[in-house]
Amino acid sequence: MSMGLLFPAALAALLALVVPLVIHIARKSEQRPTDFAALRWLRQKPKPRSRLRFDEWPLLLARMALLALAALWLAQPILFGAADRSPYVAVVPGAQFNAATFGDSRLHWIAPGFPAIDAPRPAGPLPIASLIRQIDAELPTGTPLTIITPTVIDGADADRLRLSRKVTWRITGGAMAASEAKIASPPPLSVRTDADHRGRLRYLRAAALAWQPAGREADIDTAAIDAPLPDRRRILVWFAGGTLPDDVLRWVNEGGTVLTASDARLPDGRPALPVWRDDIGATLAEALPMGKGRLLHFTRAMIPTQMPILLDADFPVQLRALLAPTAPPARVASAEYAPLTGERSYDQPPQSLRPWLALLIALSLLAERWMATRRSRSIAP
Amino acid sequence: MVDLIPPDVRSRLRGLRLVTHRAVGSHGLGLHQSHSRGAGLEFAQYRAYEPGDELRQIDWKLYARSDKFFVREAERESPVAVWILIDASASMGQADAARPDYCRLDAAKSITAAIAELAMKQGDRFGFIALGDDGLALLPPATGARQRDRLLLDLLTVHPARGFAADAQMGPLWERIGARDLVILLSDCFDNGAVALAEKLAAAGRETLVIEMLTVAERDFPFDGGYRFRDPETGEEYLGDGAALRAGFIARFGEARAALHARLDGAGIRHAAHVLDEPIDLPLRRLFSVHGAADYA
Repeated sequence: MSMGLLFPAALAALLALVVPLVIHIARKSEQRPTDFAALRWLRQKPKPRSRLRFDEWPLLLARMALLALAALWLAQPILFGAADRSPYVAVVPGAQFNAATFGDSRLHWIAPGFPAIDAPRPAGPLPIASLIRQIDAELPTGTPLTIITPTVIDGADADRLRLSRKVTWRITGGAMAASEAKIASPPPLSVRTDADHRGRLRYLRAAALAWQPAGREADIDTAAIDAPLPDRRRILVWFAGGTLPDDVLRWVNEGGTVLTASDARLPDGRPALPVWRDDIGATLAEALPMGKGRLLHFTRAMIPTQMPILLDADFPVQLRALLAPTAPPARVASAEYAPLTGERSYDQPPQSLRPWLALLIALSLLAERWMATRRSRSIAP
Repeated sequence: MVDLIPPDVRSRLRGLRLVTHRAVGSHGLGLHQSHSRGAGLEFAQYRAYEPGDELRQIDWKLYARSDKFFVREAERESPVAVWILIDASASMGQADAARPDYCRLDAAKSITAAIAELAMKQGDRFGFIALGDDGLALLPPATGARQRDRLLLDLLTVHPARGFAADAQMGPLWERIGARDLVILLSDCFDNGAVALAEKLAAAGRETLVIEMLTVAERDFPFDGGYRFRDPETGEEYLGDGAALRAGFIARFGEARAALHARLDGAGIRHAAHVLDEPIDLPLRRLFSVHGAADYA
């Protein structure tokens, strides 16, 4: 454990210590000056006039200590290595465990914010693997870490867990509430088109038809661009040139998804992310997150000469992946997902001493006020 | 001109006489006869001859010129001069908070005027010396209304100096004060020089009286709360709380005054105290009343 200052220049504020001293010395002028020729009988024995006298030095000291603490507070003191090193037990929601067996260890759910084990069990899909990495990064080196997990983890990602420490990986009974990845239905399309783009609709229509099982109608409706906007669960296909109308942008901002033609003018100043590339790596579509929704934008005109993939048999699949990406698999058997070691460990952020210092300042302020206003204090030296 | 003597005091002054104990009987009859005309050194006036005048008093040279008899009259000098010594040190500039424009020196000037009034009335010569370290202000003794007016004018120019006059500056004082003169010292007696001067004058045969000028603050010490007391002469300062200092100050100041009185009594100097809120004739009554000082103690 060691202390440090984040902003040592603030110690220059210690110069303010001079202020109470100066006030203390200059305070004599606050007393009413009185001519008094019989001065020599006023006191027991004469004192030299220029002697510096400190009356009420406890109060003076308290005030100077208060200023020194304030200067220290400005300098942002920090404490390295003060983090808790008691064993940490992380529980994947759904695991069976007995809290009493872990003694004085810290027990926490693996969930955002790492609630204590007394909190109700977190529900919903959780990025378990990512959270485990976070725990590892946030625990000081050498802190024992135990992870209790059910037999199957839902929330793994594509990378094996690789942590900086050896983890006690305890697999118990119980199961996570499986987030059943249901087979997503094909995305319903609502097309708003003007006359120029009407001819290009057929590729979309064909793709929508291809998404459906044989014998079912394609879920696609078509209207002119001045028709009312559809429900936000549907995907809006805006096949018109020029600036996107405000109501469309508002519709996207509130959570809709829109796919625009290449000659639609996008709102300026937003970086677009390529999301669809063809076989030779050229961008076909890019995405633009807007508010809660997203805006997809073809970079080329939807004609076969520009987009050869329109004629490709793979087009419906790729278009569906663009419009409604499928979730990656997240379920994994815990036994196979035991963390590896070898990741670099991170330095722990130092602990700020400011709150404690603020408390100390408040206490010394109270003490100073008490000393300054107590009844027994003499009016003057 | 500001009248230094309040009207009520002026009326009370009538009953007072300046009496010196040592000069009695040395010249002439009775109390120091002052305005008696007759033989003397100082020419006073001519007057027409009246039957019964001595022939040798007639100014024959004037008779030769004017063919009339004139009698040359001389004024006999009063045997006694009243010297009023005013301490003009800075401590005399101290006033009370209740009456900040009336300092010890103002009271001393009023008393001086009252003494001058008394002396003029009984025909004694009177003069004053203001003793400050920036030089003595001196008015040679004489008598008469003109002398009184001159004295009042001169008093106007007396202001508190810094300290009491040094011994080296006292030369004119010793040259002028005659052996039988009455000396009245108006001082706060805080300065040892003033007391020593009084002692020396008394030892040298002058009848010396001291009027101790005190402020109300020195008698009552009415301070409450924090004060920065400053000695006007040394510039020394002392911080103190009035209420806490009162008892100690009054005790020590009383002791100091008792010691001073013992010293003055030992030198045969009569003394009286004057506090600024008292009428200015009170110390004179204490010193000169025919009934004795006891009535006014």
